[in-house]
Amino acid sequence: MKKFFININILFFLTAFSLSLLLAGVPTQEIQNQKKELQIFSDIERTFSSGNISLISSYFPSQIYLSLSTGVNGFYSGNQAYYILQNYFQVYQPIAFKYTQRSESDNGFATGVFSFENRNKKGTAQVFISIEYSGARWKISLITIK
Amino acid sequence: MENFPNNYKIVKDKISGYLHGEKKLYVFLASILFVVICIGFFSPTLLHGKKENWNSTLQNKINTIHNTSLSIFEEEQSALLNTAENLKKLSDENKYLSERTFQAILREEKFSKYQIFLLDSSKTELATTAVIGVEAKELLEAQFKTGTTYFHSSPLLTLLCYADKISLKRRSYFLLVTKIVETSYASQNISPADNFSSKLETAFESEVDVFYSPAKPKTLDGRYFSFDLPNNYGEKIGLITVAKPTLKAELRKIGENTNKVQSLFIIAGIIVLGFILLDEIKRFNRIVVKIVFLTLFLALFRWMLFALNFPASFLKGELTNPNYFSSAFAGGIVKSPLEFLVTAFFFSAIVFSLYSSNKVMQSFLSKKLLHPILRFGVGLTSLLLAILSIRGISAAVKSVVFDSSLRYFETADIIPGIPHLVMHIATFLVTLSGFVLIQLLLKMCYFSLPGRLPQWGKVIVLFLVVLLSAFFFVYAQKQPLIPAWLFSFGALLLLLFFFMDELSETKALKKFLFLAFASSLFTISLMNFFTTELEKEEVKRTALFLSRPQESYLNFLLNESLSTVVRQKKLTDFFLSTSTNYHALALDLWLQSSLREEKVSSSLALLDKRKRMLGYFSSGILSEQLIPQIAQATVTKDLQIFDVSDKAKQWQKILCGIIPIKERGEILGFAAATIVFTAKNALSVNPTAALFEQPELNLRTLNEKNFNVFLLAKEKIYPVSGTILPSAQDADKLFDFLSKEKEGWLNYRGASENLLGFGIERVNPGSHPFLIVAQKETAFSFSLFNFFKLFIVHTSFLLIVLLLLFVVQLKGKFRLTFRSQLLFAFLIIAILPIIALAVYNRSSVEEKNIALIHNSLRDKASLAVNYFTAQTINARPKNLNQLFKVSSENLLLSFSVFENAQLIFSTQQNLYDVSLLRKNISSLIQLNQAQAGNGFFIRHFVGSRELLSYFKYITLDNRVLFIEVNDYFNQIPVALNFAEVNVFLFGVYSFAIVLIVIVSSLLADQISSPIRKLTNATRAVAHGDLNVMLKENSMGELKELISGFNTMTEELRKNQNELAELEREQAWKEMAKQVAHEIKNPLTPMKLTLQQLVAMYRNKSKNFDALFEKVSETILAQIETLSQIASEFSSFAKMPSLKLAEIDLKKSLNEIILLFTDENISLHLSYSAQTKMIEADASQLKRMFINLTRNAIQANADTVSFAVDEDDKFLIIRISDNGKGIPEKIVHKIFGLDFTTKSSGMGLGLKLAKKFVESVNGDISVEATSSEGTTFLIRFIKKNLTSNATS
Repeated sequence: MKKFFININILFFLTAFSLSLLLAGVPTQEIQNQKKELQIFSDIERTFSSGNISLISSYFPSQIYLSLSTGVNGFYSGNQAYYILQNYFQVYQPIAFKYTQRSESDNGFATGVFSFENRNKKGTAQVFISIEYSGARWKISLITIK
Repeated sequence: MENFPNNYKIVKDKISGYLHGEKKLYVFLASILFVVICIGFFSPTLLHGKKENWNSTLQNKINTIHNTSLSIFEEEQSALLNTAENLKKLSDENKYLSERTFQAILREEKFSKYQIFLLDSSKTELATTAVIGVEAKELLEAQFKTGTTYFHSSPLLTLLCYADKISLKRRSYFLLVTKIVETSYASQNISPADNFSSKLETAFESEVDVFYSPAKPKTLDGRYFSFDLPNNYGEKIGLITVAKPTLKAELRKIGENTNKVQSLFIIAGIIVLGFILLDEIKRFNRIVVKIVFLTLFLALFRWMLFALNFPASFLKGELTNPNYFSSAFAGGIVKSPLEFLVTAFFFSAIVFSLYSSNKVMQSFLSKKLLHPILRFGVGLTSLLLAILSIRGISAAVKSVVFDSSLRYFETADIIPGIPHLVMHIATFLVTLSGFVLIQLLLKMCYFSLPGRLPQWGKVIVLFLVVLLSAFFFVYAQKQPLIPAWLFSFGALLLLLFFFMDELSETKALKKFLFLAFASSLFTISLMNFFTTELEKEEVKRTALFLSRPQESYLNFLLNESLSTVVRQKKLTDFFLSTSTNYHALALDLWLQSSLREEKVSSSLALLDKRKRMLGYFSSGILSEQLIPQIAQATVTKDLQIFDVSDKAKQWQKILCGIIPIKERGEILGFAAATIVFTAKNALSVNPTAALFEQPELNLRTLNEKNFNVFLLAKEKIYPVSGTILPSAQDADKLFDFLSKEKEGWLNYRGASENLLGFGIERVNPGSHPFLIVAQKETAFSFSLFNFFKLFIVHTSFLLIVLLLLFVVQLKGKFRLTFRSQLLFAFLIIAILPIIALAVYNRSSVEEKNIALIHNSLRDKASLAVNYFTAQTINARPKNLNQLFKVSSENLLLSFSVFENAQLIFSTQQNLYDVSLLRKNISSLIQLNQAQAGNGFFIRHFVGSRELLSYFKYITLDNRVLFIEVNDYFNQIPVALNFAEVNVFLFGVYSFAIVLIVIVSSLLADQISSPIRKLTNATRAVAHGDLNVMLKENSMGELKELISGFNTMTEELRKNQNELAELEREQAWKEMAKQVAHEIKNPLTPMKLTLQQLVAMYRNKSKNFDALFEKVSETILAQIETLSQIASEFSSFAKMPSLKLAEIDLKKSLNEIILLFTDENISLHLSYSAQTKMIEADASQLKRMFINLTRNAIQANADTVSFAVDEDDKFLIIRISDNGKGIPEKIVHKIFGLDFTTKSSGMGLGLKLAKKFVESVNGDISVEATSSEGTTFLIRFIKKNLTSNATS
């Protein structure tokens, strides 16, 4: 009998342990997505602080919407967006970037303040970035700098 | 000192020595490198110097900025004053000048830059050239005297004004001449880029603020400096404040300029290096080595240009703007239209230089590729590379379409701008070069096929192999770049050209034209295909965009716009002024905000402290929606945003934001902005907003085409935009599909059309979970219109290239051949009428369109008038404005109404309120008084758009009114607009012209061919080749002529042979006679003396011994004489003496090639030796080459190649044919006398050739012979060595 109870306990313990493992695995995918999303926000921040477009170019989809204070306004291919933003940062040289708002959902967005230097003068611009999760990866669908 | 002249001469001679000949290039290169290094060393010193002297430099810069600004302003001011002065002089000098005449003068082109007003003494406006909404009375400010310049500022415009008094027919008037110096929007002749402040900012690359008020004080901020702007009397009328240049910016600029200078020198160095390498490359014997070096150099050169960012760093503008095109290919080497063009040129240079060596490479391979496995390997590799190259061309064209904002088919203009032109040229070059490269690869494939196969067999095998490989390649890919049919089309075009090139004798120019035509066809097909793919992607993108909520973005827009508005420096100034036009101010603020650029309907309103409306500008928003109740009611201390969307309307989002305008903590008023987002707005262009859009080169956000957008639920459809909806049955199928897949492409049928759409699950589904965006399938299909658009462009390029080639080829040697004359005659006869027809049709369509628009506007005006009349026929209207409003809504008509030349009603009231249009049209009416009864048309600008307005005089309710309708707010559809007409007509006709050119060329060829052949044959006869025979294919007189020629040459040949025979016979007879005579002479004395000797012997004479001696001597002497005679005759029998001269071997060979142009043999020359001159007998040399060629023809060869090379001593000529060869057992006999395998001829040809060559110390031999051909090897001593050898 004693043996029976010991066996039952072991069985119970094993079952509970397995179930816990299973349950723990459920949010793993979501956590992975969230981690990647945080990564994208981090990359965006570094891009706007340094002007290095390569940090976010991998997030560009086939067509991305750009609306910039230089008058650029429309949908552009990922390749075009790279060079357009590169040119933009050559004119408005980045100093710093700070987020004012971030939304971490499947159709997330972020707003921030971009500090730059242009024509011997420092200034700031409002930035809006829209991201989406599509085809198992995060993409930047819209960048507005005003 | 005394030796100075001598020393100077020595040094000078030494330097000259280095600067001549090959050394000069090295000297240049060394100098350039030296300069580059110096710049590198000295620039830090320069920078350091700048830092040390910064204070004085800064002061100098400030002074320069000050002086330059004043000088720029002075220029504008002087121009204005001169204009006014000229007008005043005109009135002073001509006392009888009437007001009407003066008004007409004001409208001359030279005054178009100015807004000129003529007012009477009470300052009532009599006439004006102004089209913008500026009223003269506002401009005549009391505080300024006449005769001085001053500024007048309104929210949208600032004008530099000058007022003066003039008199016309002894009456006094005011003349006001003004020029716009600042504007917030672009219109006819004006643009924000031309603003005075913009010019200063561009000139100084610094922030500049210009204040157009004398009251503005100078800045106290140490980072800026200010100075006054004086008028023509030195009185302050404005203030300029400029950000001081900083040391950091200055150093950066110096660094950039230094880099640019260094880059230029480095590029110059590379060019010089290129020349040096070209010289060195020429020395190489192997052409393959030459080509490899050339290719590497060109590739390196291109890479260096890219690394130095040349020419992008020197040329700023549209061509270096990645907005128009940029691709990430090769690390950004094509990151702008200009970079793409430069890369295309280099690529073309490499490919064409490869192509120029293809004959030599073939000849090289023919010797090396004997092993079948090797041949197979080369063939397979070439085939693979050819297939991949077709894919490469497709990928390049895809990038041109997808990585570009330029829409090549949607803009109706053929070449809307320079970026389009550059992209077309670059694409054309890349695809043409790609085709040339693939031709090379196909040649390698063809060449690697087994030699045993007959030509037709090789053709069929190659054809099948390439097409099958193309199909296999496409189907083997999961996601092929282009469909199999398009891939095969390209392969087919390439094969057709290849066979034309290999199998027929076509001139190089014609081949180039055909290849260019083929590549053009393929390019246009690819571009059409990818544009269709892009349009499909736009459908998908639209669906994705509309399926997601926009609230956060709209919130951001409102937030950012209102924050920007309250930060505007001039806002508080205008709020504190009593005469502000708040509507215009609202428009100005709206133009500065983000609202202008987004695809939403928006408005900006300005309210006073109590939130009462002061003024507004609205783009697509109704006045009732401008300020929602909640915004009015709420106490606003900071920015607040309200969502006032109608929940019942699924497809609409309305947000309103309001923010206080404060000055030192006190609220002066409020700014309120409203955004209305609907799917319809997102899909179409707002006509009001479009007034302020710059005429960009067709850059668009979303497709403006007629999308059909609807929401889908189970058994429910909610239309959003468009009219073509699926049937209930189709809708259910679509719903089931999307329920399963969540998103995807779908087809349905509606209104007898097939539609293709993209469906997606909405993020906030509401009652309708799916959104579908669809378009008619016909919109995605190939159209002739698209084809002709690009075809005109490519044809134009080809014509320009042909013209250049024509000029280059004919430089100094103009020769109009019979063929050319025929061709020009055909072209003139055929093309001139076509051009005339095209021009006539175009002007006819244009006139019809203009008439259509005019009639349509008249009809619309009449419609409105009839409606007014009908409404007022029984009862007087209480309120005319109400009547006008109702009629506009019922008739869906946009119009304006004027009474006493003043505006009383408009459906576009806001545009008048903001002063975009003039409310007073008195001068317009006066100008067109004669036509006022029937109505008159005026073309004018509103914002950046040109409108045609129709004014009609009406009477209503006993009031005299004018009604105005225009073609901008009342869209008038025409079958083909002007640009579309151009494309269609000129496209069709240019296609017809191309066909005419091809057919005329073929006809001219055919007609002139017999004459050409006759000419060449005659030339050959003149060179001594009497074996020429022409084929009698022609008809009529030409056949007789050719037959006569053949008979003549046959007779000549016979006569020549007979004559030669007779001469030989005669010569032999003469010789025999001479020999007999000469021999007789010594024989007679020999006989006599022998007879004497015999007699003396018989007589046993005592003198026998003496006589014996004498006789022996005589006989020996005579024998010697006989021997001499024999030697002389032997010498006489030798070859005629050579007429040696210096001969250009290359020229001679080219002449020989020309002789056989019209025969069934293809002759090629590859001259890779540097030496051209040899010493030989010109006629015998030619005869030898002609003989060898004739032998090849008689051995059934169709190709003969002359390859000239050299070594240290000899010029080496290899003459190779692809005839049946010489049997091995007789090879050693062919140079023998009287040896021939032919049925006719004396068999002397090769013998004579050998004799001739050896007589000039050369040699001739058979290098190789087989059933696939024979190669003769001839070596001549080089000219300089010949003279060395003989000296």
